[in-house]
Amino acid sequence: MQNPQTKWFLWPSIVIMAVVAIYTTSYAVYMCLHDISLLKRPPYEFVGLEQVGEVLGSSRAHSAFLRSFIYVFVSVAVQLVLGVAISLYLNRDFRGRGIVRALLLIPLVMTPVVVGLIWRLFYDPNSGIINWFLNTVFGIGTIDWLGNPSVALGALMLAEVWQWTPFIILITMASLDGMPSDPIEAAKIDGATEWQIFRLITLPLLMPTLIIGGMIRAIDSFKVFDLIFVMTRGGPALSTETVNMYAYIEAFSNFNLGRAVAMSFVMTLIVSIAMTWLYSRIVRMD
Amino acid sequence: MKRNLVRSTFFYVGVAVILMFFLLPPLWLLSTSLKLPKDAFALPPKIVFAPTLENYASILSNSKFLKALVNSIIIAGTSTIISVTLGSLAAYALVFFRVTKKKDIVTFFLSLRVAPAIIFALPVFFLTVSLGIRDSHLVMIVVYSVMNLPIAILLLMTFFEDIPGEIREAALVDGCTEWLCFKRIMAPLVRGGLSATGILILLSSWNEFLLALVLTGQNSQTLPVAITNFLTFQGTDWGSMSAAGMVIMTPMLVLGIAVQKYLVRGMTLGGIK
Amino acid sequence: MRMNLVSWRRGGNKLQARAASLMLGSAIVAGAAAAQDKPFDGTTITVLFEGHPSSEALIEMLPEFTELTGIEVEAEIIPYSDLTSKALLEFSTGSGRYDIVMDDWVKAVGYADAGYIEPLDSYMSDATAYFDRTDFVPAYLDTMSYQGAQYGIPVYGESTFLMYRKDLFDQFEIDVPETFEELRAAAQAIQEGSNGDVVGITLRGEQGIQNVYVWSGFLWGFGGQWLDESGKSAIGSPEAVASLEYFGDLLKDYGPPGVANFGWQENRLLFQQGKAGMTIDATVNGAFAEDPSESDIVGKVGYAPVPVSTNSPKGGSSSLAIHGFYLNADSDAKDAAWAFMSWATAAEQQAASIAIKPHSGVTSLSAMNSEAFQSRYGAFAEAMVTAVSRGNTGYLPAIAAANEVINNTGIAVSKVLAGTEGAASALATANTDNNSAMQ
Repeated sequence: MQNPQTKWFLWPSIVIMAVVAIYTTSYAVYMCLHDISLLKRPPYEFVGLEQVGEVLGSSRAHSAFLRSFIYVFVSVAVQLVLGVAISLYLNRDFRGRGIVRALLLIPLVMTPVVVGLIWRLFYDPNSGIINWFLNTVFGIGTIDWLGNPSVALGALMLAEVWQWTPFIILITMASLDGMPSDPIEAAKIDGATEWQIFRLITLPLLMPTLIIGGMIRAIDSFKVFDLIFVMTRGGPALSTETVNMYAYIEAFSNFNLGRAVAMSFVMTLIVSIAMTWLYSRIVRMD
Repeated sequence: MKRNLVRSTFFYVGVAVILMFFLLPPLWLLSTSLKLPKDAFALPPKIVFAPTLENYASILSNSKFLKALVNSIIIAGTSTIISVTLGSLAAYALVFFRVTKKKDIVTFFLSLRVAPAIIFALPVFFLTVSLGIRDSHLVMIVVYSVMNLPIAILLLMTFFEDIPGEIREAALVDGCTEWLCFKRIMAPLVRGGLSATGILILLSSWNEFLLALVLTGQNSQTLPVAITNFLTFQGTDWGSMSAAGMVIMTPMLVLGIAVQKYLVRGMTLGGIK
Repeated sequence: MRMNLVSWRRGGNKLQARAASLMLGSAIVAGAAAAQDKPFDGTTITVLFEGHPSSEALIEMLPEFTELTGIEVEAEIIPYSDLTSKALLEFSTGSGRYDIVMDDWVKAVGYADAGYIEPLDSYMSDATAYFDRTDFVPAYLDTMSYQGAQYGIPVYGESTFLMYRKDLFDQFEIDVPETFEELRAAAQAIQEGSNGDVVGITLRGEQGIQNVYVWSGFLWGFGGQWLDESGKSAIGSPEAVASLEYFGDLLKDYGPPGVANFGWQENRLLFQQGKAGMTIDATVNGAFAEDPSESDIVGKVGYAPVPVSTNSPKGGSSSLAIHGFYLNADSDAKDAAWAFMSWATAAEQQAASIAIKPHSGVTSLSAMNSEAFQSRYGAFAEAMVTAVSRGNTGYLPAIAAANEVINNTGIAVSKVLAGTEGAASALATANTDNNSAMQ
């Protein structure tokens, strides 16, 4: 039997979220099916699935989808590898461990817009510190980090990796702290190498943490907008235009709201169905 | 002994390198905020310089920035209170009540956490435009409350799950009403969880950019949007921008460190305890 | 100099007389308005201003207008880059929140096409307390009409020109380039002569309106055009391809590092720091280059028209960008709004505004001839005025879909600059996209 109090405790949240979800979805469907442009006055013309078809058939949209996937996949993979490596390195008792952990929080709480602005300053080909450093120490000539299409996406990903690797480090460290030491001690006595211990014992024990951490990062990097907006706005030559950025430009620079919604609708379907399925599998139902 | 010393020296050098990498950008921000324009772009970078508070003075007398600061405090603060309040009630019910289709409800909330903001932004934007309520605090408060409610629920569930159900049952047997039991007994028990949840939500509203960019204007602009105004027509004022960046980030840093031990758990939606 | 002004002005021989009578005339008008019953006393209007010195000056002068007419003016001022989306948002609600919007004419064509803004012809003929048609630069006023109706009143105008370092040109014995071939040779001579300390030329390369604004001069100069006679996109033409290939090669060989992300500001700073031998940009940059508090190259800059490479261009290679006020069709105080628009652009206010916030884009002939203007901008005023007189009002496509067309084309320019695609195929894509945007 349901608790009679449910309606006071749970229903407000469910009702609010359901109204928002239903409204947003149906409105998005409406916008998808109509040619809504800020350069036209209502009533808006019904165009059916034309705009969705345009998105699915456009090579610019295909590249944007591919780019979003590359961005997510590469930056999350690097965060995981780097994060695990650093947390294993820090996984011992040393003076200042607590301070190191606290300091690693700093990137996590920084406003992404500010992060983007700082990195833009670092990447400046003429007055940025990165080129200056590479030049003085290694004698490497000027690299136009954000202006060269073959490196610009990588440069954005580095900023993303910088901000979120500490997240992987902190959750991995927490997980290592709670790990039983017996199997490792036993393996050491049996003469196992450090690499064998990591591969056969530590890594499997870390796996659940890394899957959750990786999922969360993947969900959030699909949404990334602020970093790109501040650093490149999708340029040069579209080399950093993710789906989010493309939808934004379509909506607020070309004023085709209908097509922008069609685009984000397709993306939302692809990304959120996959992610929700995986996520609910892994996080809540294990 | 000697070998140990060498080893530990090497170890600390490694730690220093790691910290260097992760702290250089915020340290750069701090030092730029204290530099005069002529020092800010000097290469090699000036490590020793005469610090100035001029940049801080300039942003703290910039009425647009101050307005954005107030907007951010009102919007992020109010929406956090709303989502934590509603979220704690819902989480309490989901954990302790026998709710049918509990699993579906949780999945529903999760799916809202996953959906990208842009799909939300365009319909809401168009709605506020048609209703003529664009650019108001109210819109942003509602939007952020709704955006963060699923996170609040999912996160607070994990904190309530830590509390033995017997405590609640004993209280109810003693004649306590559900409401009083929640307010007087259970909520205080998850105080740490409530503040961690609150701070995480505050952080996400405080730093949010896309929705604020699309939905705010002169009246309700928040800090992350306001800071992009330093990229002006007349040239980027990096000194003021850095000072503004420090002002935005410092309160969140202090709060974040205060609830450090819950923060990791919160960031994984309680997936990791 | 003065002759120059006169020569391209309709009925210029009456100029001196008009300038004299104008001061007197507006004094009388002002007196008359004050003596009248202030018909709009107590009305409040809201104006969306573009972030520009001319706006800042007008905002400082608002109390005078209020005293004169009793109309309260609420001013909102936002950067050019956000202006169009902001205006469109408010227009599309039909709220009439802004009675007057200021923007670039290229964008305003879309407003007119959607019916968001009001034709001004009847106001101009009926309520002419401040409006004097003959005092505006004729080309400015004439440009701001769409389908036979006048929609805008010009606040400031701007052209583009070639800015070059006179000292370097002397040192390396270079003549001022008149064709694109000569431009390239000049860039090479400077870059090689200075051993790369000074790059040959700097231009805006940032994807979007930034690089399109500059490349468009090359398009016209090579004999290309945006639209053909039937209104179809024409940037797939051999001339357009040649101009974009040239543009890309020029910057690759003689441009500065980072040019792919240069907007107006980065380009201006590099040039005024003396790190480039030439640039092609808006005439307002001359004011910055000659400002000792901003520039390291005061007095070293020469000004010349944007080169051309054909004897029969379809339009000039110098732009003519006109920014003005538009009257919201949903405004509920149109007459009061008109009073402000016409007052703010009248000769007296324009002349006063130069003294408050220096800017070189005045649209009033008598303000342009004023002592204040001539003494401040003498260094480049002549080149600017020539550029304006030759300026091509179709420099950017003045069509409803201008934003999207500019964005599509900006991508093509950026691709060629980055070397990811050839000019022919990048422009073919943009051409197709532009045609579908204009449907």
